[in-house]
Amino acid sequence: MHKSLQVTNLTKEFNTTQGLNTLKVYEKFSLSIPENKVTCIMGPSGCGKTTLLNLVSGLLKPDAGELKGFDGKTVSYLFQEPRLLPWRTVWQNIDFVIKDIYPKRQREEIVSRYLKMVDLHDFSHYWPGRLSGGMKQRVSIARAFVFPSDMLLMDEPFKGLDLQLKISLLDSFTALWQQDLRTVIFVTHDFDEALYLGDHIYILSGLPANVNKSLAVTIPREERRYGEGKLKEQKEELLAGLCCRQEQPCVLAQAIS
Amino acid sequence: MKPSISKDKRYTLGAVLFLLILWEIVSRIVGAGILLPRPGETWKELVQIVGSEDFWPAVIGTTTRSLIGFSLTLFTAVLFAVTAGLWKPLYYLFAPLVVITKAAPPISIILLALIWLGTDKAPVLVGFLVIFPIIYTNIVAGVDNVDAKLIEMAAMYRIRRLRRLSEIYLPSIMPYVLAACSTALGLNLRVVIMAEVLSQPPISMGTSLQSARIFLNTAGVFAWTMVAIALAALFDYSVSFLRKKLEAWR
Repeated sequence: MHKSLQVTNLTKEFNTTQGLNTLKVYEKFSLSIPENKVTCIMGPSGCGKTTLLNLVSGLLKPDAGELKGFDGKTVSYLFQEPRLLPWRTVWQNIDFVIKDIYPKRQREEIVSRYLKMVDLHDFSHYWPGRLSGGMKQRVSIARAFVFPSDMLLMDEPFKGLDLQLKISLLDSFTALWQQDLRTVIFVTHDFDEALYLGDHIYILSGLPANVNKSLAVTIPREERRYGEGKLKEQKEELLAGLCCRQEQPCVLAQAIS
Repeated sequence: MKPSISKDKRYTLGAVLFLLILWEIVSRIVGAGILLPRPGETWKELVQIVGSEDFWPAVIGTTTRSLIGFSLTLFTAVLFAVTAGLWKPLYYLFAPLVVITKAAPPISIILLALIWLGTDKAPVLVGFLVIFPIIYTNIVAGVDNVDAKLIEMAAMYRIRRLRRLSEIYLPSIMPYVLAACSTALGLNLRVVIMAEVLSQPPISMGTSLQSARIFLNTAGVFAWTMVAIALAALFDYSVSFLRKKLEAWR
C-alpha cells in the first residue's frame, strides 16, 4: 500500500463583497492524496480547486481541519502562466530556484540535463520574450522539476494550448516525472489531460465542495494514447456517470479565484 | 530600417540649418549684437571660451556638482522609494513632503539652499530638492507595478528576501529608474547652473554665464548656453546608451 497525504475535515471560508457574506468553499472536506502518484482534481470553475492547492502549499491557512503529512513538505508549482523572469535567460530562470541549494558545478550539470530533457538546450541563452508560449511553459516545467520539492502542484498549466503542443508538453512532463515519481496534485478542467497523466482522479462539485466522484486510472502509462482508445472509453463512461447525477452548479466563481 | 534612420537625420540636419539661417536673418534685422548676437559672433565667442583657461575647470566643476547631486539623489530616491513602496507608513509620511517639494518654486529652493549652505554646496542641494520628487514618484509607481505573480512564484520556491529584492524588484523597477534618470539628469544640470548663477561659486558655468551678462557680452551668454546644451546632450546620450545595455532582454 502507498502512503498518502490526508486532508481531513477541512473548512475554509472567504469573505465576499465588503465582508457582508461569507462563502464556504470547504466544510468538513476530506480527501486522500497518494504519495508518489499523480492525483487529478477536476470540477466546475469556482468549486475551490485552486483554493485546495493554496491550502496544501501553505499559501492559505485552513479555518478548521487537518492537513496530515503536508507539514514541512517543499512544493514546486506549475501555474497557468509560465511566470518566468523576463530579464533572465532560460538558463538563469531555471538556475534561479536552486541557486541557494546546490554548489555551482552541480547546478550547471542539473540545469543542463533538464534543459536537454525538455528540448531547450539550444535556447538556454535566450530571453523568455524570444520564446513561444509552449517553449516558455516547457521552461517552467523544467524549473518545477529542477527544484528538489516533495510535491508538485499544477494549476491548469496546459490550458489554452493547441492539441499538438499540449501532447508534447504532457509527454515532457511524463518523462520528467518518471525520473523521481514525486507526488503531484494536478488541477484541470480537461478529462483527456487527467486520464492521460493521472493515477487517480477526484471530481469535485458543489459549494461547499464535496467529492462527486473518485476513480483510479489503471491503464499503464505506456499504453495511453491522448484522447483515444481505452482512455476515450473511460472518458465516455465518466461523462455518462456524471450526467446521471444532479450536479450542483458552482456559483461565485470570481470570489474564489 | 536603415534608410529611414538616415532620412530622419537628414531632416534634423535640415531643420538645424533652417533655424541657423532664421537666426542670422533675425539678428541682421535686430542689428544689435547686445540684444541678439549673430551666429558668427557666437561661434567666435564659443571658440574663445573653449580655448580660455577657465573653460575646463568651469565645465568640470559644474558637471561634478551636477553628477554628485544626481548620484546622491538617485541613491536616496531608490532607497526611500523601494522602502515606501513595500512599507506603506513610510509612503504616507513622505507623501506631503513630495507634494511640497514638487510644488515649491525652484527659486525659493535656491534661496533657501543659499541661506543654509555655502556657494559650492547650495547648487547640489537645489538639484537634489528639484529632482528627488521626480525620481521618487517614478520609482514608487515602479514598485507598485511589480508583477505579483512573480513574487508569488518566488515565495513558492522559497527564494530568500534579499534575492527577491535584487532579482525581481530591482529589475522590475529598472525601466522606471532609467526613465526618471533621462528626465532628471538634464533637469538637474539646468537647475544646478541656475543655482550657480545666483550662488556664484568661484569657477563654474553659472558664474561664467553671469559674468558674461554683467559685461553685456550676449554672445558669451549664447556660447555658454551652447556648452550647457552640449553637456545635456552628452548626459542624455549616456542614459540612452545605458538603457539599451540594461534592457537588451526586451
